[in-house]
Amino acid sequence: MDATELGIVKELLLEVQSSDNNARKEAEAKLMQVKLNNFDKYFAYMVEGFKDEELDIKARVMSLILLRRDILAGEPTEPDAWSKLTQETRDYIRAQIMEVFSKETNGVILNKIAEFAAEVAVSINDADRKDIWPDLFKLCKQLISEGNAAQITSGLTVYTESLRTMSNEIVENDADLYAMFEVTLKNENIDIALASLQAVSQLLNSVMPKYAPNFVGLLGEMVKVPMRAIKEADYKVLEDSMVEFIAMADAEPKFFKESFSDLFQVFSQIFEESEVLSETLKQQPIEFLTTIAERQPSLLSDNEDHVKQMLDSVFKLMIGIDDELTEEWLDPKDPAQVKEEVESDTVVFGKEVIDRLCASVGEEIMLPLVCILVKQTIDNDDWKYKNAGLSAFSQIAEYVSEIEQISEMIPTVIDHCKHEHPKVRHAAVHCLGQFATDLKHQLTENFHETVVPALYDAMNDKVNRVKAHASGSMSNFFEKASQDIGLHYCEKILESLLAATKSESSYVAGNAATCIASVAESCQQEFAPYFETCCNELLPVISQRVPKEFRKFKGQAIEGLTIAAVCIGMDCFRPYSEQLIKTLILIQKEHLEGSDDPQRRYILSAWQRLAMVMEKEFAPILPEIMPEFFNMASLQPKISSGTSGEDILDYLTEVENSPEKKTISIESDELEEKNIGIQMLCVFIDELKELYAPYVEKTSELFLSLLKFKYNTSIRSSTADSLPTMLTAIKECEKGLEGALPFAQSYISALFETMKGEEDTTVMQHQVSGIKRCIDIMGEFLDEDQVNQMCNIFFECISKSDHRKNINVAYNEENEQGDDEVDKQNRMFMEEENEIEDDLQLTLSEAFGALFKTHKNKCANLLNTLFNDLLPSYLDESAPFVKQKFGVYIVVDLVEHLGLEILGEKYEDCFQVIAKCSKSVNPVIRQAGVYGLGISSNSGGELFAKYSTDALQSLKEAIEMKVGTQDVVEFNHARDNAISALSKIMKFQHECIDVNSTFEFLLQHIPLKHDLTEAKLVNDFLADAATSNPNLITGKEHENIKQFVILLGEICRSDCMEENTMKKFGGVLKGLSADDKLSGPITEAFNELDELKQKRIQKITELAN
Amino acid sequence: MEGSAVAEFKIVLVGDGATGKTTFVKRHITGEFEKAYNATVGCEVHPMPFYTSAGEIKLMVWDTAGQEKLGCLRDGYYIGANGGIIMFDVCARITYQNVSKWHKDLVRVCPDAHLVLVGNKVDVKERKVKAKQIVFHRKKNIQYYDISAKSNYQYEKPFLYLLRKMTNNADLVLEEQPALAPPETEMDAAQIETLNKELDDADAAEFPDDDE
Repeated sequence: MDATELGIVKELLLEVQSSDNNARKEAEAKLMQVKLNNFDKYFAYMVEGFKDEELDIKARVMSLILLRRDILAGEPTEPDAWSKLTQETRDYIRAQIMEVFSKETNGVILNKIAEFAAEVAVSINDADRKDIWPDLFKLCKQLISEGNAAQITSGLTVYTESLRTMSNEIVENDADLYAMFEVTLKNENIDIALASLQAVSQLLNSVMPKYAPNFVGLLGEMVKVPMRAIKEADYKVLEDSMVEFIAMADAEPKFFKESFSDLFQVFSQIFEESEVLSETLKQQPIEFLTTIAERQPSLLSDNEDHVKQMLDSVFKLMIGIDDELTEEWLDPKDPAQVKEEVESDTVVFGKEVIDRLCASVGEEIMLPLVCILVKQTIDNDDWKYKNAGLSAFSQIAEYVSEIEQISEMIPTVIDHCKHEHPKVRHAAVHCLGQFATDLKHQLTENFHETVVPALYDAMNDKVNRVKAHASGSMSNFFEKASQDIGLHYCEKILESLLAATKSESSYVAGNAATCIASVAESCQQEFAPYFETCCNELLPVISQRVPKEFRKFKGQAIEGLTIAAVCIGMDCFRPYSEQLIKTLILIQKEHLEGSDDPQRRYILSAWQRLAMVMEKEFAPILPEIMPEFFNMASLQPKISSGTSGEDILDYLTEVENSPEKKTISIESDELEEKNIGIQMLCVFIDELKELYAPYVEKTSELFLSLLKFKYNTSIRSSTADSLPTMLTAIKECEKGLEGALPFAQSYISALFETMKGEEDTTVMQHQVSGIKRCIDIMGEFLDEDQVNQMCNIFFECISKSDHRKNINVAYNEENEQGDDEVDKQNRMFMEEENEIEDDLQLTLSEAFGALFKTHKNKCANLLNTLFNDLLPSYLDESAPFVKQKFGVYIVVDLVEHLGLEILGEKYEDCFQVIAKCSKSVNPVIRQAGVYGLGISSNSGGELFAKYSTDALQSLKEAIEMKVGTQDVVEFNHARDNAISALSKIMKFQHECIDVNSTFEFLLQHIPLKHDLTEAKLVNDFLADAATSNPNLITGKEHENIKQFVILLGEICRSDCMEENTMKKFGGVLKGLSADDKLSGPITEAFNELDELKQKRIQKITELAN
Repeated sequence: MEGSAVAEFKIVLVGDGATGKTTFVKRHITGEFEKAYNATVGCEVHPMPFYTSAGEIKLMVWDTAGQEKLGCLRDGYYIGANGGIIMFDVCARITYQNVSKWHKDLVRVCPDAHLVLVGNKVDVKERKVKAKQIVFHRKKNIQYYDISAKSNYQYEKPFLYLLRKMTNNADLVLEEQPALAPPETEMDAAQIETLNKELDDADAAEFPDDDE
């Protein structure tokens, strides 16, 4: 060893920590040079560094960190540095570690050495490992039984670190482990007890589950650690020990099973006792219990009292907020800084917990409990209680399937929009907005009479935040409201909204402008009479330069006006178009300040909408704006690193998407800009179609060149999406289908070609979807060879995707009890990766569907492969869910598109599959099955008749099924599709069923509320039935005439009924009204309806005239 | 500085490459928003003065390389840090996945540092890491903020949180006009405290009638 150089290195160990950039970099370079000159020497210097007790502690720590990095992580350029060292150096390092470990007195160094020693022991190859670790553990045991506090802690640290990677070996070989933990957990020094707890936690995190029960006896002592920490007011230990409990709950929830009730009480007690603690400390016991609920739901759901008690705690936490009313909250100045729900972290946490409990314990248990608690808290006079109750209530909205479950509470919420405390008003207003979003027309239909006036009043609140939020909730409401509701309130609300756009608060003004857009969207073309006022009020405002904080408002106003323009259509918009366009160009050219100006995105979207509404008349504006979009899309993003001259791609870290797949993708603002440029061009292509002709060649070339853009996956995805859009435009140009053909052929081959080299699953999905859309657009344009080629690529894609999934699954199984948070995150990520693989496979099934539809007679090979290889295994009940889904989707597509004619004898096989799926307990499979039954009632002819009784029975069961633990949305769609299928059977197969009883059954289950596409079909069927025989609906003696009128008031609206159907119903109603006996009850029923529903009835009768 | 020492703390800024660490720091220092991507090599230290109700505080922000191959000393930079910011990009799931690795490295080197997790680029419409999926901070009991360096959304929050923690002063606030920060800032803090207390009292009591 060179003493002079060692001296220099010791100095460098400090100099590389300098905050002076130049000095530090210089020192780094020198140190690097020492390393490159001679590895062995360098490592020896590092050892000397951490050994030297005279040296600054920071330098000692640095030498250990660098040594650890070099040996364990290795520089990418020199993997496995350890093996490059001479045997002599290795022995030397080992000996030194052991020596320092046994003698060191400085706690910091000791702990670092412990970590390092354990890591070296377990990380290096087996032969070396055998040498080091028996010695190491021997030493540790000695330290733990005889050493001082720092030594005991470091001995435990060695265990914690070693357990990370070799827990099973340790548990299998070390008979003293349990006793050692037991003793150290009891140590009167709480830091030692914590270190011991951390070691046990690490053990549970990484050991095979079968060994975990061996340590359950320690739980009593483990729980004492946080309890002691509270007593000793050592909050750092409390926090750290709770972090361990949360980690254990995540990794090994069963560990807590036996004594869960006791544990529950202990943790509730920690929560209770932690009144003096910070908010985040109070959250930890609840986080622990919530984690248990997520990982082992039955532990909580088996005992409703536990859930109730937990909810009580959550509410207490939410009530405990000490949020003061700040000026920033009451009147936010910069809307860019405002989040829709600015709440204290505690309230956010409480809501998250309620959400997680709903998802894990289930809404059947949670909804009633939360409702009771909400009611109690809202009834309390303290504003904090009310605020907590309302916040919690808004959180459960997404778990409510039928509004009846909570409708009792809505008047209470409405009352609180007038409460004296602004936070309560804000929470109530927010709650209504959330319910509008989640319950959609269930809320708008049933509660518009009370909700709209309440929000209207809140829009005139004294406090700007409440005022602005009321407009926000109103927007949510009108986004989900039907046209007639929109029209009913439009005039009154608009006046208020336009006044609010003049507010001195940019937040209030901006939300009002956004709400105008929602109102316009619900009114659609009927918004025309109000458009002029909007223009007159808003245009002068937006054509001015505004202070910075008003830029977003300007953007929102532009958005409002252009959305309204789309709603009213070109004929009504024409008189204002020129002025609006002039204003936009003015803003774009003169007002924008840099790429982060919020107005910019609004302007870009505004051009899209104007192109949509103006169509041909937009052409003259194109030259004005197209160059900018081309520039954006063809932008060459600057991607560099501090080093020069080499391809940056060499430096970018490969993203490990799965153990076998690495892609590179970086995100920068410029890349995002480029992506937006591409998407903008697509919108224009889509909207302008033939007008886009002058740009077709150039754009086509650009897109093809970006299909393989290596830096960023989103750009590759967008480009794959863009190609079919181009085809639509080319087809619409004079070129027609024939002219588009060469483009289509070149796109398809480019996509085939690109797919072969693509590594990213999401991009692949876009490519498959791109191919599918090309087929949709072009129809039958591939020859049989191409169809076969495509199927081969797709089948290969499926098998590769399966392969990746299997690797992920294997990885997860291997690491089932993987060591720590990092592994847990990896496992979660692998699961997410597999979900993306599933999405890819479903897109592939859709692409096959498109082929069946268009290339009916060229699918012979495809059908062979499907029937012989794929479907039998996919449709097996033991197959993974996604395979079954894939299988049934394909089968339904076959029946729908190829029918009896092409499928021949296979048709019956397909039908059997569909019939079986319609009985599935899984709502997604069941939906596909019942939908298939509806389809085959039409295409199956006599074959269907053979099975009709069974089919009818399956549908009835599907309709009457209870939701149970099924996903609410999926369940509702399955049910609606079953009802719709029933109506199809009545339509196409009425000869082989008992029409009257089936019809009666159907009437008991209408109207459809969730799948509005199917609702339109069912409503039309009802209209036809009523036209041919009104008694079917009104009863033999017309005894149900009043119910019929009520039903019409509910369903005769544009989102669930075509105009033609309305006309039919109008005719039926007119016919019935002509009967003297009936006109009385009809008028009576009509008069009992609210104004909105009366208008609907009036409209259909007018249509029938 | 008229002889009075300015409190100084070391903050390390870590996270995957291209999550916006350098842009975030530059936004604070120059106000400009950097659009291009220039990968940091090793580490760049940026002194950042903050004018607070407790006087001027200088944060030495160590902006470290996210790209592993450009990492140089990597966790060697963390030594002596009082605070750490772990950044991920809400538009790139992998960067959230890697948060646990950064956290582990940070805690190993500086177990007592105050940590903040930040999800950057929340301005981007196609957010890939949804709010519900961000749970890491709950498990480790650290603070979390959604931020956007581009739209400035909450961009001062991570620093404010760290300043409060490191000075053990939960009431510390940032002063808007650094140049105008009066020397007797202690007074201001006291005033603010009084004001806050008054507000608290007002909250506890009946809310004033004139609110409605």
